[in-house]
Amino acid sequence: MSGRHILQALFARELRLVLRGGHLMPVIAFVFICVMLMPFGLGPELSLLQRLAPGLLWVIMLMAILLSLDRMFQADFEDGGLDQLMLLPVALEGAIMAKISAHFVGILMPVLATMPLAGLLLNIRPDTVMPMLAALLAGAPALVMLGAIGAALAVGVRRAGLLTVLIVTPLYVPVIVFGAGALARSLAAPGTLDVAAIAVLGLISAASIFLAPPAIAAALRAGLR
Amino acid sequence: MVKTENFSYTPAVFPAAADTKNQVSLRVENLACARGLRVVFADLNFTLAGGGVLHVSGANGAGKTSLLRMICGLLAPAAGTISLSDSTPLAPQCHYHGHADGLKNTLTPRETIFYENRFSTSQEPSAAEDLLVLAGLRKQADQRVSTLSAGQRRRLALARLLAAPRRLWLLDEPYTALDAAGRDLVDTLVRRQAEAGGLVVLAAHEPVPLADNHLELDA
Repeated sequence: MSGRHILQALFARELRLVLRGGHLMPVIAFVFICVMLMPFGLGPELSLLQRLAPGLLWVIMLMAILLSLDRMFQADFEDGGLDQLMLLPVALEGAIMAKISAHFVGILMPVLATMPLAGLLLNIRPDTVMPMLAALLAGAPALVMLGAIGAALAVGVRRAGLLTVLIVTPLYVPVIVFGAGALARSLAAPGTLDVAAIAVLGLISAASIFLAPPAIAAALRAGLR
Repeated sequence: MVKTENFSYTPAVFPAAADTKNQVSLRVENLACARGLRVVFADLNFTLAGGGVLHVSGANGAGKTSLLRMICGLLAPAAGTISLSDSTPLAPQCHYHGHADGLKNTLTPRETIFYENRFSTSQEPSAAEDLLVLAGLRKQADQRVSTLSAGQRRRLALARLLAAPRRLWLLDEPYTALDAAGRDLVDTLVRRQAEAGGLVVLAAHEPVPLADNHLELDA
């Protein structure tokens, strides 16, 4: 088998593990619980909910991703799977990308698919759903890759979930700023797409896809040693 | 019961006996291991020739697991070098069978072997069905790994050694939790690996008659 075939097999295995792990439903439940609790906290005024929706949706998305990443590497560390991952005859960075891709497809794509409904519950207009999805899709890879760095740094640490949040949250600020901004401008001018902000989100995502795997690999190696 | 001695799938599962001219050896030179400020061992030197089985023993804390993890690159040595005589990278040629088995609870044994086969660079990976028979897990092949007993998990982890053939096996307490048939399985796997020209470093507290080399680490 070539390296490409090994990575494909690893992706398939990880996707199967994600789908069987029962991690998806709690994350989706989290998204809708947050959205449904908002009117209780903020009041039933629809225009207020609509005005706050861009920031709320991005923060909810961010928290959902952190929730799903909690045990991404920790479970492998505890069951010895990380040792086996290190010894695969492929670059560790490639194996990490296969694992994160499976996580993205198995958990985050379904969560992204629920975001239009979550947005409508926060009273965003139907004609802003597509711009919202475009912004979330452009920024989601950055959220996942940055979250995975935090998860890798916290490997082997007790209460790793809390540590991951503390490490990663500051890194998320640019994504949230541009993402919520893009969504707010689409809400202000229905049917329009803030191409510049989405391009910046795409650039941040592309940079994180290239830069995060070596950082994650280094963090995992350090965690094992 | 697993009858590993008279195993009928031998050609499909076990690698062929090796050409002794092409065998590589493992060289460990001036190796030292430190945990914090404590030196676990130092100035460790040995060469394990192709087809050799090295039994590593020693009291708890003597550094048996650390030595195995250093050989496959999971742990950095404080000093010294570890290499193969043909100078190829060690890590992708190692199987590490440690205390944590790396098995995934939500997969079945059949799926575990299936994926392990695909993680192999070998052109002729072993048939999953044959390996399940060898491990005595044919009846449990489609149960989740989480439902297996400790001994059955251990056997499945051992079957992975053949699913993706590699040159160097590092076995840390491989007899733990195994019954008599399971221990025979370990012995058969180790013997076949050695006959195929592979290398085996095995850490165990009990005597290992198969081993042709012995290393005692002092605590």
